[in-house]
Amino acid sequence: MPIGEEYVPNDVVLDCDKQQIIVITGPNMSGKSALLRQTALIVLLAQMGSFVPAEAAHIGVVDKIFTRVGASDNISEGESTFMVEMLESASILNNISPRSLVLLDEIGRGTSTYDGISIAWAMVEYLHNNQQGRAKTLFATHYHELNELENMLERVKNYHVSVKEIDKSIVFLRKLVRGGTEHSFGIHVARMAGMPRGVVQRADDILANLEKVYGSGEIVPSQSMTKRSKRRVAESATESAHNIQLSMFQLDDPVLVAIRDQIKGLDINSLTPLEALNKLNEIKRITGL
Amino acid sequence: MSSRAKRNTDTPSEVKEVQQKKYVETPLMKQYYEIKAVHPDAILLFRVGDFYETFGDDAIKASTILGITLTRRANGSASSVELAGFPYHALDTYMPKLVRAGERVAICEQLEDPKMVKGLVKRGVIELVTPGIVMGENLVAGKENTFLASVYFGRNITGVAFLDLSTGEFYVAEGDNTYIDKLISNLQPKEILFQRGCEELFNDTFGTKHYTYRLDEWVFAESVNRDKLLKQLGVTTLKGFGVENMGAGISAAGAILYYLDFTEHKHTSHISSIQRIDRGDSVWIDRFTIRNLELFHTNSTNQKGSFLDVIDRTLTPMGGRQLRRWVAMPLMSVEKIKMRQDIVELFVDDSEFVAAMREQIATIGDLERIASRIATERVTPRELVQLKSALGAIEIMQALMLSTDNDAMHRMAENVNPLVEVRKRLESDIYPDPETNQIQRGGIIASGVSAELDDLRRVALHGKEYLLALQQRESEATGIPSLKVAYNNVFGYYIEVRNTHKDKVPESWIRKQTLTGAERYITEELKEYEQKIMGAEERILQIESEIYAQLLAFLVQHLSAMQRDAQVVARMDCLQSMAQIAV
Repeated sequence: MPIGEEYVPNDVVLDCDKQQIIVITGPNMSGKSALLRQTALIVLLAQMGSFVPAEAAHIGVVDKIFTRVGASDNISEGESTFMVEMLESASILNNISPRSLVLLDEIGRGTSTYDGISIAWAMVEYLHNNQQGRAKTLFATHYHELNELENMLERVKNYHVSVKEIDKSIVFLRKLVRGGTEHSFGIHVARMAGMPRGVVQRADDILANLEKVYGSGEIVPSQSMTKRSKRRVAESATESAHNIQLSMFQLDDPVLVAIRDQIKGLDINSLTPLEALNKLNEIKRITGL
Repeated sequence: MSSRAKRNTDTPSEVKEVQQKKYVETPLMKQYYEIKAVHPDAILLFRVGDFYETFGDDAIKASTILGITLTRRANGSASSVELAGFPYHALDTYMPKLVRAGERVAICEQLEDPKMVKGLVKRGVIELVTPGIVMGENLVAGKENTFLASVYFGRNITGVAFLDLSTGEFYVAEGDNTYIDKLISNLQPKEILFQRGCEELFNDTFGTKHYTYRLDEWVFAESVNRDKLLKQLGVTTLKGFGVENMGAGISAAGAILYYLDFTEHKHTSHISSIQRIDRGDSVWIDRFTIRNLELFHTNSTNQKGSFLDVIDRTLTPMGGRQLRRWVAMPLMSVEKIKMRQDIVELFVDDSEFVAAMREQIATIGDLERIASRIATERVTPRELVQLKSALGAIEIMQALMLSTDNDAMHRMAENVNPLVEVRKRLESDIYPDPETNQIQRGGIIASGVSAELDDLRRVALHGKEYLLALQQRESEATGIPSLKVAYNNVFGYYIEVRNTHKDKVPESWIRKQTLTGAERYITEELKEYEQKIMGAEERILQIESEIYAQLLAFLVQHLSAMQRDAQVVARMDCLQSMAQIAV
């Protein structure tokens, strides 16, 4: 952190009953990612036996920490940005436990807006309704459409990192505040980054047009659809995760790995028919069918 | 065409065949190919006189990696072979570069003294250095473990073992492949061994970024490996380590021991225990999270600034390595967390105490690796001096720990053995500031250890004075003012007389050499003295080496105590580091 800039302390509360999932919205650069990482690192420090940088902390023992950041490219392994993002997310959803801490940063940003929102939406629902346990989750996003989730899922709460708009420029307050926010201020950031004035101007015009045509909240899933999907959330979410994996022959899923290991370990030549049937039964049991 | 075929071959016989087609063999090259055939996948550094030479494809690789000149050497009538080499004393500079470039390096030495044999000198590989097994000071990073891992895909369960040869730390675990992948991400081994035939499974599970080496399936046989482990750890059952029933883990651990033997690492007495890593003991942090949180490396550049860099205030390399493991594997047990917190609190509350502890810890250095280097007989005299001061500091540290009223601290202090007798022995045997850092060059063993050594040193030391006295005496006796005593490699000591005084030379002197302006003579007395001095120097080195060897043999008996001390120091170091960032 540059000298002279003051650190802004923030309170974060997560539990299993009232506030299991926090959706954090806020413009780019406002400090969402920093908040997520600091939460993970504080938990990590605490469980190393260290003191933590906080006035007071009440931390339950966490057994798994997952963090995923959207759009971290991995060119050297030949995987696309979005593929990496989805692989990583799938491995979370397949491994969560009641004592897990899950930090999702801009998941869904690697694809088109509608796809991204849909995936993010479904993931939050899955985490909320998961039978395996209520993993504590921080979900940072600039899809303010996700703020709707607070009204539909009881343990989801909205927060945003506050900014102040003075004339046409913005001041980052870096304070976590209850409630959602509507603006991304992406164009402001573009201006701050020194984009040519013409481009910024034009972007402003286009934004105004888009908002006029579609209004805000157009791309939020309709209530009826949500109800329908609610019933099938768990299934569909797992399904989609599986589809991704199967289609790419990735074996990140422990179930698939276990099955493969079972089959690989078999010595067909010394197997009696009865043993073979038993084995098949065992494999069936692993799949949980 | 032939060079590609060679690179792809696996079996020694094929390699030889191809090479035979390519080159006409001189006896030296024949010997080279014989040795190369045993280690076809390693760059062979072939000692020829004062140089390490590489030939053929090795030379092409070495010259690119090291930036040394690639030449050709005519080997018989029509053929020639690529050649690149460097002087033997540059080994420490060049070898690490090869290893860091991901090459395996076989060091082949002359096993006989060329002066003593006629014809070809016997040569053999004395060490095979791979990214996962390195010992040299220049090769291992201080605050990072250099783990060699071994993965065994069993029928139902996968076993994994990790060994840091430079510290003797040895871990074993079992579980499904996701768990093993997590452990590999946590400990970040530099090299991974696995079964031949499991390439696809390995790459699918752990990715393709690791440096790997495949071993035949039989190397992983459980019953043989169980015996190997028992023998290595000097026990009759593995129950004491809690790994008795870890079949797949034992298979993996045994393969590591096989690999050590295969790479000519025979001194392994510092590997005296094995620890199991249990799934439920630590927080699950997978490789994506390690990367996203930038725990060990920053994502942007190679610069410092990872989480570990930020919180690391450790004072010893072993503390740094321990902290790295604590970050990778945070605790799950509230009791253990509280135990650490209590000690951190104690440090935070008592700044005088923590300052006293820090002072002692800072002087300890890398005790763990010194212990390993004693076991492998690579320890240098200066490291022994370091060991001496480390043990002194540990004694004070132990007293400090016992002065607190913290139970956990007391328990740890009770595990500390300041090895007073070892320190006394080092104090009496080794000069506090050795003249050289190589026992072969002498000047290391303190006076008062061996009466003979002291006598000989007196002779060698006073030789110059004696010669001056002799020069003066002869000068007066003969009346030759410019007479001088000097030394060269051909005649040894001689007396030189300018031609103007030639007629004054006594008859008993024997003329050895005539120069334009002077004559050189030797005398009976001079020859006798020469033998005494030369003999003394040789004998001094011999005695010093003997005493040094005895000292090492004595130190080896205390290895496990040193390792236990090192562990306590590492823990204390981490805890004080946490206290530093807390205030």
